[in-house]
Amino acid sequence: MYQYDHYDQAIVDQRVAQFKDQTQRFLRGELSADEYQPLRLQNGLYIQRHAPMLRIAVPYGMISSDQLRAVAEITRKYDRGYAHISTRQNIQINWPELERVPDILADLSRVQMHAIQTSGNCIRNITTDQFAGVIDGEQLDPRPYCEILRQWSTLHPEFAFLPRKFKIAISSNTTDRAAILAHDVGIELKRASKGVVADIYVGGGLGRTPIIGSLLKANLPAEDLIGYLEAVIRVYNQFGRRDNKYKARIKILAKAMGIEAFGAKVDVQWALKKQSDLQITESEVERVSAYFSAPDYQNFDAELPSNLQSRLSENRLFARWFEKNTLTHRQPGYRIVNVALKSAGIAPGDITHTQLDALAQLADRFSFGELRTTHQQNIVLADVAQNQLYELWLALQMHELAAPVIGTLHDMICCPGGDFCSLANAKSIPIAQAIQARFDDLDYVYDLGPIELNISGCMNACGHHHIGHIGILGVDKKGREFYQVALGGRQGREASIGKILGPSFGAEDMPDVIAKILDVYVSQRLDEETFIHTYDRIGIDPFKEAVYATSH
Amino acid sequence: MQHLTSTETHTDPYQFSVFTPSTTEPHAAAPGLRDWIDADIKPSRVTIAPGEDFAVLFDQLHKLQAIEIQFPVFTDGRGFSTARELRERGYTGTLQATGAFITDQIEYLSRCGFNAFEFQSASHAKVAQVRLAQAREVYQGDARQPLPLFRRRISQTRETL
Repeated sequence: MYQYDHYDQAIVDQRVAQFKDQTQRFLRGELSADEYQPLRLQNGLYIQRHAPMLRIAVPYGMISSDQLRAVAEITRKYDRGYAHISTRQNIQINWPELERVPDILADLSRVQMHAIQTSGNCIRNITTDQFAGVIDGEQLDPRPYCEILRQWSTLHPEFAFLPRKFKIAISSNTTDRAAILAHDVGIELKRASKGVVADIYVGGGLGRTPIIGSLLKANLPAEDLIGYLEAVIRVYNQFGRRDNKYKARIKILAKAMGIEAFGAKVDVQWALKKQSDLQITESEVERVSAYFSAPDYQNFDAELPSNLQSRLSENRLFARWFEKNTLTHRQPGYRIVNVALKSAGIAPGDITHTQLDALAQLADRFSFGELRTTHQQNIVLADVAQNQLYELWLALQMHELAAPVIGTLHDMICCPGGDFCSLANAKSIPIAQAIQARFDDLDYVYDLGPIELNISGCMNACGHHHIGHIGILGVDKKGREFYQVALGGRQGREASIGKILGPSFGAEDMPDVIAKILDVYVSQRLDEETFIHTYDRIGIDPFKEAVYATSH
Repeated sequence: MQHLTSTETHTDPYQFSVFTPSTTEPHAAAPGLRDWIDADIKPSRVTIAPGEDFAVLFDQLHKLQAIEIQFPVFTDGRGFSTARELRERGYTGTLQATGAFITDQIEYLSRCGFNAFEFQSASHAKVAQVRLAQAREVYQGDARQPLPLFRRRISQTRETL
């Protein structure tokens, strides 16, 4: 993965010193709360329901074992011994003291980490496919471009006070795992005869007005990415609405202007930037790409080694984990391993300091010292030799990190919700836990097949409820928490927004509601049909009838 | 009012951070864009408010001495883009930030091409002057250093050779 040189380190160190000064001036009363707010937000610091929340950047989800250990240490030293993986692949800690945040940032900078632009009305952490560089179906590794764009977007002088936050995702795979159509800008990188090109999608996003992104520019030469993105974001900065924060995202602007008129304005700006110093140089692509070259793989046969085969046939638990949590690797003899942070009784995405330390050590032992965070709030060990899988699984089990639930009903995406977040209208974690508890029979869960259940505690949709096969949205009605259910949403190339089932439910009804929805699926499915395909075939009405039949 | 103005021209980026404070108003407020458009004889100064279409100025930029860009609230970042676009279109005169911007934005402002600032107090101007004089490493090219870091970066391996 990318390593800082003295330039990168200087930039982060300057920011640490600057934020320390800003925080001290705020604490001395020299900087007003209104002035301090956007400055601290651009450094990942929220003032939350109980305490500040600090969001640490994990650029495009890549994190080293040393960095993970540093995070574990920070949760012990400054927080309550656990961290939370966010749906933007970042790491959040929920209980730091404001006065000590500058020290946390200083500790982070020692392991080439920071919290720059993890919140605020600026360009946020750029995300990508969590399996970049190791999965089949990839035209090229998107991570060098992620890093080049990370550097460009870091402390950009023109785009620090945008109308609203700005999220960019990059994919370069036939399967889009980065949800590029649900981002302010989605970039699809492709190989063409003339080199790498990019399709640019604009105006996708979830939140209060979910919209699927539109194609703005096809086949943009990749060396022009910076210039073109500057043109897009300048048009947004100048014309995006600033009078209503719920209408301030680029999706509203692109929709109001129409994609053609928006594109025409972008082209005017783009003309100023073409053929300029903004063009990404070949040598820079080479320099950065060198950090993402394949690790020192051993030469193995693609077939499963015989000792692994016998383990799989002897040990049902291990076999389940192998089937659900590991994936075919591009390199023969290796597997991609998903570590599900979805154990019963734990908030989805939460991980303790001992688990963080354990994972760091396992990454060193089994996966070249690197890990990835995912927007499904899990962690990936991307390069595990097949003949070490059993050993890894035993170690994961010891740390309660071997839940064999990837892609199942238990693998929910869930925002922190009303337990932590001051924006939330309702709690979301207890709903996730109640559903997990209700469906604790894993054989039933496996029989259900792949189901994506996403929960958000408010309209801001951090839990991506719009694109869950089953989406749950917490709403507030006269001070009481209710939950609206939608069906049929999905991510990826066929991204679509779920349809609302009907009137909302109380928290206590939610496990029953989900049970009824699943009963309809089980009774109506044909052969191996998945939940989402059954939904596509029979529509929302049978679900509606079943769920609301008894509640009247 | 307290002003801070670069004594050097915009085309000399390496001297750009030398700013001279002055307590006297160096000039009367520039006319608004509407008045400028309506004037038969075009004034050499103009003020742009956020949201105003300033395309009408593009073929007059060489005749303008000073353009003031207003910040009604410091979180309204449109002025950053306005300034940078004017510089990209070749404007080399004075570009002054006025209004509610804060000293914590001073580096970004100067990097976007502002070379003059109007402050409410001398203490703010002093803080800004100190900040502007500090050299910082940055990734992007800007008005002070036109090349992005990837065109300037000397790799450590090459340095050790």
